[in-house]
Amino acid sequence: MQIILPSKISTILTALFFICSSIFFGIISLGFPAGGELFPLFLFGSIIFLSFLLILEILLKNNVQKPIAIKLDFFTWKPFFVSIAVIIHVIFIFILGYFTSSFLFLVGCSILIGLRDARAIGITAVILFPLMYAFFEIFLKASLPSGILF
Amino acid sequence: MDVNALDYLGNIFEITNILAMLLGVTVGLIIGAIPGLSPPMAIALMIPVSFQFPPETALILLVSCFAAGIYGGSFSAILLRAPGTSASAASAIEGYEMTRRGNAIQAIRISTFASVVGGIISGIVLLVLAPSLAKVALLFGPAEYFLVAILGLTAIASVSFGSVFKGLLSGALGLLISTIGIDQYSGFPRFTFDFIGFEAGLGILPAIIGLFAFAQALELSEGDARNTISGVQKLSWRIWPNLAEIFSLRWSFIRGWTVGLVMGIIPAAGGSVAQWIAYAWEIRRAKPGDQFGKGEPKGLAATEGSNNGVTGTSLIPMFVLGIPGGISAAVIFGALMIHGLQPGLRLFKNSPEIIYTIMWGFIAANVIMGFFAIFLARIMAYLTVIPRGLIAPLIMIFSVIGTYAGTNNVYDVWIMIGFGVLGYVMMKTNFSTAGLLLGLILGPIAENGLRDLLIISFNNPISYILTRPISIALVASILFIVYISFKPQPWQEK
Repeated sequence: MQIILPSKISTILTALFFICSSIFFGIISLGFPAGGELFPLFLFGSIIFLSFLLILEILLKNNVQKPIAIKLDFFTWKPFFVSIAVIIHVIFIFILGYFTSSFLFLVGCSILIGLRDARAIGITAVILFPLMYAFFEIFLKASLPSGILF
Repeated sequence: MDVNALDYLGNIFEITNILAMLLGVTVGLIIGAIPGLSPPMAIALMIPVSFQFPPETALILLVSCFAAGIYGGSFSAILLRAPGTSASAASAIEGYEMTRRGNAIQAIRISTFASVVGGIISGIVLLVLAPSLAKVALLFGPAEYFLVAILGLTAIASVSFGSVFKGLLSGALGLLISTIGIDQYSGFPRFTFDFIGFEAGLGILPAIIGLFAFAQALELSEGDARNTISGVQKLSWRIWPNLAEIFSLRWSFIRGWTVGLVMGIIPAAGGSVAQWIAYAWEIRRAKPGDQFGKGEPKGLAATEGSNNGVTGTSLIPMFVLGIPGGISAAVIFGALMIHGLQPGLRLFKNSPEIIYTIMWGFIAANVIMGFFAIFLARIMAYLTVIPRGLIAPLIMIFSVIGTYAGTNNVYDVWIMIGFGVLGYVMMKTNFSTAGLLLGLILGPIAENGLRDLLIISFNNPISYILTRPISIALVASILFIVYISFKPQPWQEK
């Protein structure tokens, strides 16, 4: 299953989003004191102007662009799931510790992306984490979050 | 050349100075290559080490670290589209495309030649012309800073593949994001929505890592996890410079070096702006058949030439006037003071043996960097034969640790992830992540320049600009770039 959005429509929708957001944030910026509103207002004005030009460009263009197809399957949404995994990884850094969380992320994310090579993942972990520890903890003295484990 | 300068050439062959160069180059290359860890950080790390040495050796260590750090950033930009420094962001465009086409070693070869020779030329300019060129920096006031920022932004129009308007919109969005945080003039929070993590503003570091490294890792997570970035399993050993290749790219190198040398003298502009101007210039000079945006060696030669061409000349305002031209120069400035040296023309008069030894050391460090790079490049290039299913999580792990170690602030990690998702969406919708980053870098320069210009000109900036020859030249350059951006490009014609 997939949703097909013609390129012209998607560009016009994007430009309209920019125009509406600029008006909304432009009104907010009117309340900034001591000339703090000048530069943002100049930029909002520029964004609105450029968005209109973008709409004009897309309407006047003759060449047919490829429509945007949004497939509703796991492979299309893989980057989304990977992003969620990174968010969980960052949260767990402060609970489990940087190295434990990173190890779990390396294993979990590789499997999520589709790599089923335990040897490659294992060798990478064995080489990577001691080097990272030596570099960040000993050389840079970065004191990475340790959590309840490591 | 000043006869005194040649007298001090022999000093760099002292064993402690050679060791300092080796240490500086090694640390600079490694730290520069890791996204999130920047040359200023490498220099700052070396300051405590530098206490063990006399002032000239200490400063040789730091300037070596600086030159190698800028070059090191290009490795990750070319191989992973994860620029180690903001000065390497433009190289990620053509460099990474070359890697994807299986030409990683050629890309590194071009980068190494451009960087090493650019650094050496920049060092020679620093040595020979420092006092006279520093006077140029003094001619720049608020009007010129504002116009330099606008000039940099017009480069976006030229480096936007597809719609020029989308490129300009990306740049405007970057400028807008740069206004988030406490306004330094009034102390009023702008667009923070009471979120404490926004108060200090959205840093350039999380933006670079997010927009390039993290977004790229998200893209790598698509498709078959067993594939490699380049699709090749074996690498060439031809890492030494190839004369025919250098000859064919000679004008691209020269244009890149020229832009770097000039932009280095302007305080606050530096490699971050120079690379885009060099890239835009290169695109404008393109011929039918050139493949900009798809791995064109000319584009890489120009960007790599410019970002190392900047290194030496960016030290000129600092050494001669005591005005650091960028963050790295500011850290070196601090180190000079710690070692009891007062930057300024008196430094050249009272301690020529120190200042000229440092400058010769900078040139020699660039030569050493070239030899180191040849060996390091071979090892680093192996990153391109690691399966995507493994390299994507690795980039993400380094993105998180690089951001955290760079700022020690967890809010910046969240901001980096936000930029990463934004960068991924922009890549998919043909908006320019490079434009957004350039806007973010130039935002504070443009806003401060505009506000100072309004004050200094009594709210009549146009009349004020028209009285200043450098401003008029900059306005003419801006209008020229805008004009040619909308002209059909010969290399895109079918």
